[in-house]
Amino acid sequence: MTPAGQVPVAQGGGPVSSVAGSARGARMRETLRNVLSQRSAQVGLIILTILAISAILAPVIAPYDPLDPLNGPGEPGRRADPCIHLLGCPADQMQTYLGTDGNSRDIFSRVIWGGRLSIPLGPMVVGVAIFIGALIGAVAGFVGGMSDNVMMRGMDIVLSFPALILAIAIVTVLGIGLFNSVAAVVIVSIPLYARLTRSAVLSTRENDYVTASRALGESGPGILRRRIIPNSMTPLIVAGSLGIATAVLEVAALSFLGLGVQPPAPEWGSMIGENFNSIFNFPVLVLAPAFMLTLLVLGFNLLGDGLRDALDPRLNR
Amino acid sequence: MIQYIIRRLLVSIPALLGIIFIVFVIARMLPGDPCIAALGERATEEVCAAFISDRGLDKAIIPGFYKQAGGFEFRIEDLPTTLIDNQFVGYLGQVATGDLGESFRYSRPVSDILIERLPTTIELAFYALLFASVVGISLGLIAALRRNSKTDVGTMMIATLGVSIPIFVLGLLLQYVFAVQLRDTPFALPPSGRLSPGLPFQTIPEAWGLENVDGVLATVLEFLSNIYTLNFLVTGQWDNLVDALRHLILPVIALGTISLAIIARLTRSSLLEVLGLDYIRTARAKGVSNRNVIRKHAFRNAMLPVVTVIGLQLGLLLAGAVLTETIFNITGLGKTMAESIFSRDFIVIQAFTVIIAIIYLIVNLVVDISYAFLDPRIRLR
Repeated sequence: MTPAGQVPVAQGGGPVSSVAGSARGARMRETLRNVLSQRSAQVGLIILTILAISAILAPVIAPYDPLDPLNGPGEPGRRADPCIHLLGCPADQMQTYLGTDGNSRDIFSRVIWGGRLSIPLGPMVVGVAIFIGALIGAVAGFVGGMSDNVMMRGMDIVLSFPALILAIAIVTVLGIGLFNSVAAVVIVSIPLYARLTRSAVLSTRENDYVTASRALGESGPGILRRRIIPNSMTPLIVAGSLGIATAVLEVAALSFLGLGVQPPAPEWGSMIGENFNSIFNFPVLVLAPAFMLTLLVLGFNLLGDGLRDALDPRLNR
Repeated sequence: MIQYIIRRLLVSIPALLGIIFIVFVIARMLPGDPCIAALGERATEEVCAAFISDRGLDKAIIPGFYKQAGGFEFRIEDLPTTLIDNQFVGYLGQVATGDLGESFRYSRPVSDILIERLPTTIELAFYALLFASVVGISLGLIAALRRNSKTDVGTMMIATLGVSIPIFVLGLLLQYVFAVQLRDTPFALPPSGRLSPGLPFQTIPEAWGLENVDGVLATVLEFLSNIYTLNFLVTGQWDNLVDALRHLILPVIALGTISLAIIARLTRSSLLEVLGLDYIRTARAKGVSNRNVIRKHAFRNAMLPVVTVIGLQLGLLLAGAVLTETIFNITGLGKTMAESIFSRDFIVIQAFTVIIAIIYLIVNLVVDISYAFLDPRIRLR
């Protein structure tokens, strides 16, 4: 056993890594370049960047507080059409770009602030689901046998419900609210990542470098953590990036049904759900958050498409 | 082939039991006292005790496990005696005989509600799937045949937008365009309900003079009558048929668009993949016309993955029905389920979840079997 042979073990990098740091860096840079050369990834990133900036800078961009009614004390809250001073609205009225909702709150400010809740939820859901799913899938694939069977049949059963229906059932048990609706979407997302990880682990563990680690006396969990999981990540990254869009849709659907974020907190799905009947007489109240939500999902879908095309050459068109 | 079908059927039995088990356990985990929920806050302790023992709610939930205030209790000594005599086995028996419990909110058996409202959802999902498959496959085909042309790029851009637009957003947009903007034009479409209010219509037994039948046949006829377009078609109520179809257009587009986009993208990529294979080159080299290469050699093989995905869409459509029915005010399975959550009508949620999962399971089974028909290699595995 030469010291050189032990370098990969000590550094914990990929299978090829006597010059691990720089080689891996170069590979990551190349992947990144690949992703960024995809037209859809570029457009997706631009959309997401604009949305993220508008959410981060919400206190600067939004003229009013999203929860404060604009009417004076004692005055009833009422819907009002937009009032823009440049377009001839009397200067003594408060300026609102999109008008106010039934509680006299500024719609534009609510939509901008809504991004702070709506945007991070998708990536969070997928992050947690991948973490748990990868753990289940990796253990099942690596250990095999009975535990593999039990875990994967469990995953199959979760998959045999339409996701949103199971999420609704779970929220019914856990109770209505933001945290519980997010937890429900996490639970229904786990099986996909568990299956992907399992099949990736099954093919990765047959590689020579895994056998070599075993021969070097590395422990089971060590091999799993340092050899197998890092080399099984590509399908997870691809599925995860596309899964964010689905997760956003599901969280928004639960909020739309009134099971997720509760009013008065501004969140796009619940803003649409609260007011969807206004589409006939005050459409901007619904269409403004609807536009932002669609843009968000579109951004994640485009980015996911780009990542898939860059990382998974088999699917290249 | 028959062997394959039988094997596939046997494999789905544990999945079916698993589904019912999960929903059953979820329902038993629900907070709150079932007696108070059913009889109201003023039920006395004696009444409640009678109610609980009457319904067998004091029995073990699954062998050895009892529900206690705030959690479950495991009594190992009871394991053998409760192997059969427990609530889960009882519930299985109920489900097998079609008894899905009684709704608190409507004070009616859930099976009655189901016969009334499931056809609505089936009708909606059927037309949405039809719309998504026909339009989706056509668009994918056109895009693949004119690869990299403006038509191709445009179609795929629309498809990306199609998978990104939430069902409820699309539904609201359609309502806004066709019921608000185009209100007084010939293109206006009704934005809610299944039929125009006040329109008289007959059920199938009424139209065919079969009011006297009862039993299973009556139930089946009632079920079929509630699939309005089918009812109006077979009984020749043409004005009603047109009205029902007009009411279906917007919800079907809203519900079907995501699936349409998925099918279009898959058809395109699958056809392009097949067109790059050697046997297609051979066929072209033999002088087969482009038209025949596509029609006789490429299309059928390219459709294999599409068929699977079309089947899988049904789960998406059933879930999407919850949103579509809420937006378009259609009283089907989805809207009933969404409303039951707020009235805490757990029996309905439990039953509907089981039913939807079973439908989903059956469809997946049918897809698998049809896949074996299309691709002989599957049968040999």
